[in-house]
Amino acid sequence: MNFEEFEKTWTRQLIVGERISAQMVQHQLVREVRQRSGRVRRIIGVAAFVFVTGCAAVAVTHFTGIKPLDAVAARYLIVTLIFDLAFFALALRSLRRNRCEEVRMGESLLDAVRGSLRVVDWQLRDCRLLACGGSVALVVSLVFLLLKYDSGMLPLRGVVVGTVMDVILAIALALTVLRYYRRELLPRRDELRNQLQDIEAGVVETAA
Amino acid sequence: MNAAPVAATPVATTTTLPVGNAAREARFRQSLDEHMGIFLKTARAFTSSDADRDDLVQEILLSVWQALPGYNGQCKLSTYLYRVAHNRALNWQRARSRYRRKLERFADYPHLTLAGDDGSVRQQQLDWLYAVIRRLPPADRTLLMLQLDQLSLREIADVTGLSESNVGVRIHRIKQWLSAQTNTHSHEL
Repeated sequence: MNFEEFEKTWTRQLIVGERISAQMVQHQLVREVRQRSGRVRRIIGVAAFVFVTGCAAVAVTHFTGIKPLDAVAARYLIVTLIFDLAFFALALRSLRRNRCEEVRMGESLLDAVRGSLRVVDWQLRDCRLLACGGSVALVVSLVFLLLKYDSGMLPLRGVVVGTVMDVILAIALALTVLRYYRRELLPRRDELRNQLQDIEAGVVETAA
Repeated sequence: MNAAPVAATPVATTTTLPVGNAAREARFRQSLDEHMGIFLKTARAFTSSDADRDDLVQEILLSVWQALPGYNGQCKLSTYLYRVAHNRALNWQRARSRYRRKLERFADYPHLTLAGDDGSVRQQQLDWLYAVIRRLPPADRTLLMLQLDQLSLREIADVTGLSESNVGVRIHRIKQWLSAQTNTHSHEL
């Protein structure tokens, strides 16, 4: 049997079965897309809610005189705001990149794989940035705790409790990022590199 | 049952449509009506069970829907759909494990069969051909399928991003390999 016969057989394929309603499938797809991106949006939504509520609580307690901000607390608040805004910026950038990934499916195989590899490299870099940022945030938080203790605003017990909570939070964040880095991103990068090699090299393997 | 022939060569579609959602919906309908064969053949070549095949068809449709806003007539619609289908198929296993929630099946998808009175012999050849296609590395699998769909070297280069000369050389090697497989397994055909 030669290649022309294979081609003849191939072209004789027919589609059989019920015709699919494009409208029905479309409706389901829109729902599926919303569900798949829902998880990331929920996380960002919860974080945004906590952020806004925290800011509102600080503002209310300050302006009503319940707990006015002093210089140390104000500086701490500003630093916290910067870190929170940086987190949101990274998260939204990640969301935007994921959306671009879907449109990239329409590019040539080579371009799509190269583009995906670039995105994974960015994500790996973002993880390292998050790890560095988290470490800096931990150190800054500890410094502020010590400043408060030094100025008499916080007892030693408060410093210890604050330190323990900050360390637990930092460890939890570090483990989450590390797990994502090692279990998702690194294997994905390897997979894409193999795909790129496969497309570019084009060795036909003679399977047994 | 509706039986529609699977187009061996894609239909040229470069007419300009209105932008926005209306265009996207129109393109999606056109994709389902005229190019379902591309999705079915790709799914069959990249999976080995009926259940996996239907899952991949659904994933491809999802990718087509999400990728359509990026289509602005830069190439034939069929070329664009070949790219989407094969890009999705290449990444299907990873995407599948990522979404652990069981995927609800949207519809009972059609399947492929053979036309003609000598169906049983040809069917055996077709089953063997798909089994052999699955043994190829993914990129070569794509090249062989596009060649069997009678796309020109230029069109294949457009889908894969490779040069025409590279495509020509690789297809030649794939045909030689296929010929060797045929000689080895001629008793199965």
